[in-house]
Amino acid sequence: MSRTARYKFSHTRKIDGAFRFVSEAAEAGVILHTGRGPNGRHVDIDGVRLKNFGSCSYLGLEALPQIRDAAHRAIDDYGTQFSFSRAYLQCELYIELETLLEQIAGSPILVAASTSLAHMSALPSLINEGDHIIIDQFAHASLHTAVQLVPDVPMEILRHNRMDLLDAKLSDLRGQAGTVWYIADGLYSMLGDFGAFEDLKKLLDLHPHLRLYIDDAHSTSWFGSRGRGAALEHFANDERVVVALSLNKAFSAAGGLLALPNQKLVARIRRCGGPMLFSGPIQPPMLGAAVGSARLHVSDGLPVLQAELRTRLALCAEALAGTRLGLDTTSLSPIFQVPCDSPRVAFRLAELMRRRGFYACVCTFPAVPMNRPGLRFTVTRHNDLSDIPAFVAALDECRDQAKIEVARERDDGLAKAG
Amino acid sequence: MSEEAAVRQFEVEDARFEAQALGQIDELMALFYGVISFEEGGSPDWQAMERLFSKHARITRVTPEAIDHLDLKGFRNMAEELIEVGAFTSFFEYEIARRIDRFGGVLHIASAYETKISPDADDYIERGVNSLQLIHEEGSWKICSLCWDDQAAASAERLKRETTRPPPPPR
Repeated sequence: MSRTARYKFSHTRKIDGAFRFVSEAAEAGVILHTGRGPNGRHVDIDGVRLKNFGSCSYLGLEALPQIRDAAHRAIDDYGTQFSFSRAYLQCELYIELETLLEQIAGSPILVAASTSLAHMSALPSLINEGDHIIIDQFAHASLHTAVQLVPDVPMEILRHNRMDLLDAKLSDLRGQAGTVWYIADGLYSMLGDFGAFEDLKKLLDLHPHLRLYIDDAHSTSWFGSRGRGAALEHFANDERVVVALSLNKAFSAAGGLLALPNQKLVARIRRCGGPMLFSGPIQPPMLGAAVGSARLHVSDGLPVLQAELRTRLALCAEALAGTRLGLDTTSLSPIFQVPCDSPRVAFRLAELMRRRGFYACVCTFPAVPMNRPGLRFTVTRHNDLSDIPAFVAALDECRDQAKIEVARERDDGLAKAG
Repeated sequence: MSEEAAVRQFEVEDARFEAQALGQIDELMALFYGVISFEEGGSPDWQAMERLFSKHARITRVTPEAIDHLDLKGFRNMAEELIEVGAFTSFFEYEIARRIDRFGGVLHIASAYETKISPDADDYIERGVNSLQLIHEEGSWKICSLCWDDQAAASAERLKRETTRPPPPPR
């Protein structure tokens, strides 16, 4: 990577700073929990059963018998691990999985042991000397990590979803750089907003030197035909777009996959993408689960499950419309963020929601900008329909209560100090 | 001049300063907080900021992890880096208390501040004290040193309690 930072914050300082901010949340008791038992409609934390509004399993597939059975069968057939590098020998379940995933993506695909490892394999193999990288500032941390594996290629960070700035940079770079790779998320995992797909389509038309690499882990399965996600819905069969999907989260197994324009690129990444050679495979139990999930994705069953989630999202949007939370629900995704005035208020809100019997996750710096603290919640097929309006009503009340309590404690503290 | 006469002269000058300069300082401090603040997607007003500072100014930021020793250009680079990597997408900082001391031609301003996610947020993200030194240069008061500690909320509270003259409301 050859981004020239405008100001050098040392590596140790960044780590120390992150430790300080994450420790604040840990000491407030709102992160680093341990759950007990299966998580679905509920999650058990510290002996308390809470209604679960924090999971990324948007379709709740891990609870389905056909996926659990597929995992069990794989253990029976192959044991707990198949301990070879795929460069030498792969478990035969990969063949069935990749065949099914090609049907889902509608393009050549390559499976990786995780989405992060897919990025680490793909980006150094796809991006060449003479190219140029532009990455969205809120692109997933795994993408920011993976671009650092691409040496000697200029890199710039773009303000979030600012397609006007991208257009200007692409115009500036025309004739100056080879391919310009714009790297972004399909659905942003913290704030729950989508990539600017329609604008990106226009930019692809305007700028022949533009290529896209999109991490669409959070819209895999619950969005689009056969669950191929939002990015492939917009860019299916586009030779200039690479999309990474997740086999975790809504897919409910383990691993990641790359939807690639042609078999030549599949071979290139398979044969020289670092982790494809040196990192371990998806192990049989989760490979079995992935095959089970992939079979469901190509069946008539998936649209029914997607519709069940959409019903819950619509219900949530309807409930939110009657609150003072002020959330934008025009492009519905299962990820929502309730903004809070400060991390203190976000921590208190999470605690108050737990007291009301609901689990949701705080999001503060460095997961989000300093000026965007809040409570992140998700709506999944696990949620009972009756739980959603109750959760939203509690959220509306608790945010006000959190503000009042934090202000009162602050004033009491000042009075004592005075 | 005797020591007593010198003190009397200082008091006369101080009264004159009170009459003449405080308005300028109010204006400068309002501009100071105005130019550093910016809406979502925007940036600090760097040109306006340059006009507030002496070209020789030093800026020092103390954090628990390290100290940044900067000139104006370095400060701009640091702020732009934080904006670029997404540490901030907007910034609102307001003065909540102020104390001014004059030492001849040098002013020291202790300016307690709070940062917020938006102008109408009830709670603040951080509080601290900006320690500014000003000199009269090229016909106006200019900041020749700005120094603050990111983690000085208690000092800001104390200054707020001790100061009797509230700052003008934010613009």
